[in-house]
Amino acid sequence: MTSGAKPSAVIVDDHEIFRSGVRAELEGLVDVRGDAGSVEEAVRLIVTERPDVVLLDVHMPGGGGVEVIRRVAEERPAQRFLALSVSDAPDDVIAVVRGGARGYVTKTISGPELADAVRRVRDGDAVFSPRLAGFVLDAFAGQLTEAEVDPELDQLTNREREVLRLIARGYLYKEIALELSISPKTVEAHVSAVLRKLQLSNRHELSRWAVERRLVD
Amino acid sequence: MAEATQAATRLIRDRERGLIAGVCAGVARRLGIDPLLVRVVSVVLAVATGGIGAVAYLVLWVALPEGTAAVAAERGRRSALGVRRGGWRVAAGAGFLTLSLLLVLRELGLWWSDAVVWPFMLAAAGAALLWRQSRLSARPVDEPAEAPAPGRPTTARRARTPLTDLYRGGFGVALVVGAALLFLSANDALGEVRDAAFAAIVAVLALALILAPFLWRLGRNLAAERAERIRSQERAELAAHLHDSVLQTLTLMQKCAGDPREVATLARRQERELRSWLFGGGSMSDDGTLGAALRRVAAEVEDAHGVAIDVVAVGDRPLDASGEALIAAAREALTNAAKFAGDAGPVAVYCEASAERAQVFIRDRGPGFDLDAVPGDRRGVRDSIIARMKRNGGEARVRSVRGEGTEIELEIEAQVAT
Amino acid sequence: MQSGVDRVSLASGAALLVLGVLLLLEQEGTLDLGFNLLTALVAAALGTILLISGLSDD
Repeated sequence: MTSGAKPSAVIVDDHEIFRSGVRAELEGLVDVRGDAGSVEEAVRLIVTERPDVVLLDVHMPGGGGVEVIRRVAEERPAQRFLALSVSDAPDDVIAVVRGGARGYVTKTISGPELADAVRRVRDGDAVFSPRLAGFVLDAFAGQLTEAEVDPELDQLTNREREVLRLIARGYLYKEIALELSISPKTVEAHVSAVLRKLQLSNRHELSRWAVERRLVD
Repeated sequence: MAEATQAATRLIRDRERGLIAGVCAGVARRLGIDPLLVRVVSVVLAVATGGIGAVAYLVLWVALPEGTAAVAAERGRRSALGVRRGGWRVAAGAGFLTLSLLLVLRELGLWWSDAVVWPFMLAAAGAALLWRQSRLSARPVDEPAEAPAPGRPTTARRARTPLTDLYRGGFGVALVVGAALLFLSANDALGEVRDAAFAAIVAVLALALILAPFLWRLGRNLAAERAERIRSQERAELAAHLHDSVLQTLTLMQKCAGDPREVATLARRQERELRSWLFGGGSMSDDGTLGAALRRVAAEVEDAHGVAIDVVAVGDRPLDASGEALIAAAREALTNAAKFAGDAGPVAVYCEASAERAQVFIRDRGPGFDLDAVPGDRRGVRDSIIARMKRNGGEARVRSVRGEGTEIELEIEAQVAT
Repeated sequence: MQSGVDRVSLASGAALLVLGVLLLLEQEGTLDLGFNLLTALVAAALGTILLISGLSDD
């Protein structure tokens, strides 16, 4: 259950038009404390305002979203980030999630859905768009090689796989709960577990995608 | 075409490619070799005989008819293949035959003099080689010279590397120098030349040392300039593409700003195009896989009905007959979803493909329908999707809850053929 | 191309045959060719072989 209070957020994106657009969409649903257009501005703003969630663009000059996460982690390690991007490339998405973001949504998302995603991240859950779910399924699909030996981190359980497939099919969490006859909380727990694996696993695909992509400019 | 092939077998004068009267060019065309070769041979023969060979040229000038339009057309076709055939063997063969002819002339007495003809022959050969080399190296090494039509393998040209350039150039220079030395020694002028040559070499070396850094920088500048030119070419291409597609779409969108659905469709279509152009033709490339076909179909339905469709695909496999049946069923399901549920939000498509089977889920958030009721043509269509899948050895499952939307699952096993 | 290869071999063989016969006759003394013509013949044979081989290798 989400708490009643409006979540506070800060928007980080180098496109000004987009920033004001998101601000307008979240009007009344989320308390937007400010927005920033560069890595330095963003770090300063986040440290000063201490928002619940940071809406973070993946592509920005000066190191991109990953750089913001890294620098903020030095001073506010508990800060939560939600990645936002036009790019659908697995490299971008995976890189920023492995960098520390707790979820990923595309910029075509509607206002209320975005507000809902912000709330969920504030409450400690992970937000997986259908596309991210697809990427994860892809990454964990192949056989393990000898280098990837941690079964806990490097493999998805059947349940997790089912949950991801349902997310990819466009199901909402409560629909997934109904479908699998479990509680919505359990669904969230599975998704968080997948997020952890995504962030920590040394699976070949994941590290390749994260390394190949240099998020500059 | 018959006329052209007939023209190819007649001996004519090729006026357009010839230097004087097209005699050599015509002969070269008839034999299918480089005109340069024919010219060198004829010049050498002419000089060797002290000018009598030139009479033969004049005779041919008068005797041979001029080329016609059919020839010109055929030449256009031919030049795609590359004029020269056989490479060095033709040139060497021609050289030896010329030598043989010269010796016969020498025997017969139609001979200028040894001191002139032999050096001249060497010089002509060397000059021809250098001429051909300079013509080839006007094109950079990595560019394909006169790329032939795709699918037609070209064996006429050997691969050029900087080493072969050097080799050919060096050989040509050696021939010319040899010719000069031979001429001088034949005329007993070698001694004086030796001193002069020594002085000249020293002068050249000194000059080279002085100019070396300048020349080297010049070379570097040329390379940098070329890289810059390529970059600006690419930039121009990018600008042109952006102008063409994106600006036009933006203009169109401003025109129908009152119709949000139309605007959204235009925006999505342009986004798709730009994305595939920027990221190297990922989703729209025609690589014959199931995933690519699914995305194509989704794009078509999107454009036709103005409804957003999101495709998520995991795994892929090549498109075979079973896959095509699946795609056709998916198209029907998507069209349905777009028609009846498009207003309720984007349609979600999820595809899982492996070597053994493929599954496609199509989900919309429309009004849904009661499976048992018979709401007109929707039931009929549903039956046709299920029937089509069954016919092709697959399965279709439809789940619909009134008020919550519909999900159609299509599944097919890979064909056991092969 | 079968016929192409055969033509080359045929021509080469014929040329060398003729050359051989002429050299033989020269050696024997029946024919007296002289340096010019002898070299001319050798060069002609070589040139013909090279030319035909080059032209038919398309």
